[in-house]
Amino acid sequence: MIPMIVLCGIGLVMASLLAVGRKAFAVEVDPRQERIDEILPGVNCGGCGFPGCSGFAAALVDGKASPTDCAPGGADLATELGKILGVEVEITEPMVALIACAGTDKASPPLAGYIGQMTCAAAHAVPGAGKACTRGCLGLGSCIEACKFDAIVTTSNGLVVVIPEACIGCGACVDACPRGVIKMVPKKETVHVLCVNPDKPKLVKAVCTVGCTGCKLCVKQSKRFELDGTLAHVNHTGDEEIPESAALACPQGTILDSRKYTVAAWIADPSAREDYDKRSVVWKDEEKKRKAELKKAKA
Amino acid sequence: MSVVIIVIMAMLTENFVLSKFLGICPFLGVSKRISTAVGMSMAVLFVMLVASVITYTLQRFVLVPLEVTYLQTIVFILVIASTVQLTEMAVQKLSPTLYQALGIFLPLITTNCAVLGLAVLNIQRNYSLLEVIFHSIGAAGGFAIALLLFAGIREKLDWAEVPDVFKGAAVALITAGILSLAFMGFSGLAPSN
Repeated sequence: MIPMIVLCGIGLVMASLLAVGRKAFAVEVDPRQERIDEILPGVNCGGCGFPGCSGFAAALVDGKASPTDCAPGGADLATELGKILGVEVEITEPMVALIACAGTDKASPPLAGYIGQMTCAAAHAVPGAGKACTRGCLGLGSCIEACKFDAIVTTSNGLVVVIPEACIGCGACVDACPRGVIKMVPKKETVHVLCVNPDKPKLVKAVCTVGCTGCKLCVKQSKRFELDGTLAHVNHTGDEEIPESAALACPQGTILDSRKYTVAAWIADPSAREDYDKRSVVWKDEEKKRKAELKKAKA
Repeated sequence: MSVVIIVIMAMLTENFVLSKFLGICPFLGVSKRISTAVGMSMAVLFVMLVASVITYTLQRFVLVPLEVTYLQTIVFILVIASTVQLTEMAVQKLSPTLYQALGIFLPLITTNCAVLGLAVLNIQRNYSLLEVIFHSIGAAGGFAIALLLFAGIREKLDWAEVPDVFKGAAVALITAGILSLAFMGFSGLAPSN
């Protein structure tokens, strides 16, 4: 009986001490912060730039962050956060990462064997490491490590690709890439130019068979394509649908039409694509037509 | 035994971390930065002091007179756990930055064997209340010395060229071992009985 009383007594004394302490040292937390903490995804991706989801919640309450800064939560979460914080939220378009390079090790064969540290940053610092193209994807997958959502995978041919369905658009991979190959693009965008090499056409052709040479054939297909020097890119601000012929018009095969192929399927083996031949045929046909029309016009 | 000897012995010859190998968890966990190491040492000092005084009083005036000394372990743990909880609340209120930096290691003092070890040692050695207080200060001081030394070394280790296989925890453990060996040298300081 005595040991039970002793134990219970000490327990009771300690418990009351703690209860008093809880009152005395009560920390006032903004009640909104707890509610925000509850609805945040809790993946701690760091995409917002704050230390984890709770850090983001604290920053939101302090007014240092915007409800739209949480990429994993997307538009739904932003509206919810706006309701809790009592602010109007402008919904931005969901973005996904795109590795803008189609240079497989077949298309842009490595110049020399690289046996150093297998991270992109290390290989990037070594001249001659990686593929012939010094602008494109190194394929060592530092972005895979940076991705907390397993949305980036390697292919068997020396490239890495983003799975758009799995990508939440946090942008962690963009910072991980030493060559700046990864871009954030609107999720609904259907056509992409898979090249970031701004070099002159001759130099691009020398190092890669699928690099953009700035031939402007895509620009003729759709106004959405823009030329930046000798590198084409898609202007995401327009609403105009890019026609399927755009991808086929590219003589290099740099343009991906994601309505027809996933990136992985598209780069797996270009020559196995059913419209691979059609592409050049279409292109040649159109060139012939154009020249014929020019002749007619002259005549 | 004079209280000075008790303090010096607890700090150096009987260093809780490096000679008795108690409290290794925070020793390895919170020793990455000197600033957090200082905060942890302060928290441990407070917990050790309060816990050993309370446990000593309980042992002397409750457990022994009622002849229930076999309850020692569970009672001590109860006291230590509550003290830690109280410290945690206080730290959270008084220094949120320190609270964040210490993270999980603050509530983990609850199960820190150094604190329980100290409470049990106090009883085993038949210390008086004054001696208990100084022994706690010495033990916490020893913990602080070990933690600060180690944190200093680890801050330097960040810049050292460590072979790949040893990076991180491995080299930290080896360093801890060497530090412990160095502390063996203090055993000559112990007064012979």
